[in-house]
Amino acid sequence: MFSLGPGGAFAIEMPPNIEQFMSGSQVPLLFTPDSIIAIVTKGLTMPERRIDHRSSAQHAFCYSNVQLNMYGLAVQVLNCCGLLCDAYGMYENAKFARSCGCFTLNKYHANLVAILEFVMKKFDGGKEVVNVHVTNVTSKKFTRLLLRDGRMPVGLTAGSFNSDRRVKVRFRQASEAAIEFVNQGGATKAEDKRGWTVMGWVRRGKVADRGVDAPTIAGQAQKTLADSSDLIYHITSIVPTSDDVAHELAANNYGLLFDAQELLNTGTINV
Amino acid sequence: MLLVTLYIKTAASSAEPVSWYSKRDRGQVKYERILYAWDVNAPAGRNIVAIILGKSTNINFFQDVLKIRDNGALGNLLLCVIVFPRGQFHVPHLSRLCFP
Repeated sequence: MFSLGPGGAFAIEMPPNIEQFMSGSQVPLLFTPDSIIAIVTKGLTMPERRIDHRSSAQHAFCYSNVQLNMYGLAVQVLNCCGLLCDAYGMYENAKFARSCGCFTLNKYHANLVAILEFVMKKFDGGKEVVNVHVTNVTSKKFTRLLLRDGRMPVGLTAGSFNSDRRVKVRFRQASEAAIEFVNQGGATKAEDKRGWTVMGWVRRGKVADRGVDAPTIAGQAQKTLADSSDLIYHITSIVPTSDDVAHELAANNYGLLFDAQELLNTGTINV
Repeated sequence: MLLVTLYIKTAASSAEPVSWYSKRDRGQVKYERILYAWDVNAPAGRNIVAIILGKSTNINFFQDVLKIRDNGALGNLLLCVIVFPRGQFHVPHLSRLCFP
């Protein structure tokens, strides 16, 4: 099935020459009457794109074979009504976003999403090339990866997960086991199948250079800006690097995944 | 041009139309949503494309993918969609499908 949400791929066939630009910023504009062409991502290997620390422009990155270590997991109801936006960025700075970018209202799944905090590490030839702490990651696709049959059944509420501590702990343990299963490369533990493919974007911000200008007066803009030393990683898609491992995980042959249907039916889980 | 969706967001109600100009003309485009995508073949450091979507903007954007905008919604309802070369599509009744 074609998927346009975060992580979904599509193509624009024979893009025309650029003749127009945005006024003021010189950003090129592409005018094309064509439709997009759907591309099934199954079996498609995304090329690795590292972060360019010299760039101040917003740019995307993609890392394969990333090891995830989960540090936080909480299930909450978000104001995301569909499946297109994948609940991206719906919880930031301790605030829930009021609306999302979805076109339609989808009521086939419970409106619950896991809010994650994790450290992602990437090794290349024994050398650590990425070690980043990421917080407030919300993704419906990733949440469904952690559930048996990939379903968050209608009827479940945040209270179903959070009111009973045993359920909360069980979901956390199951999620850790599922993530570690993919970290290790599934049942075969093959080197090239290990880890996750993580996609996202960064943009180095600007901060006031207090060493040059005097502190600003209210209503007066700071004149000198310097590149910020902080770089926030915005994660938009997390999927197992290997399709085989993804199938093994979804098949749940090792009983790793949390059974949300059982929680709905019985109100608790068998520990 | 191979693109991978990064995220989609709604335009702020106060967002102004995108103004553009060329050698011959200039104009404005209004939009409701912005789809940010990664241009896979672009060099690192400057590889994001923004696609603006609205009621009268990029109306052909979803034409060849059966106007499926919200991924997954159709997948939950149907088992199979067969696409014919001319772009027409046909959804067979489930009882007529044979699976091993």
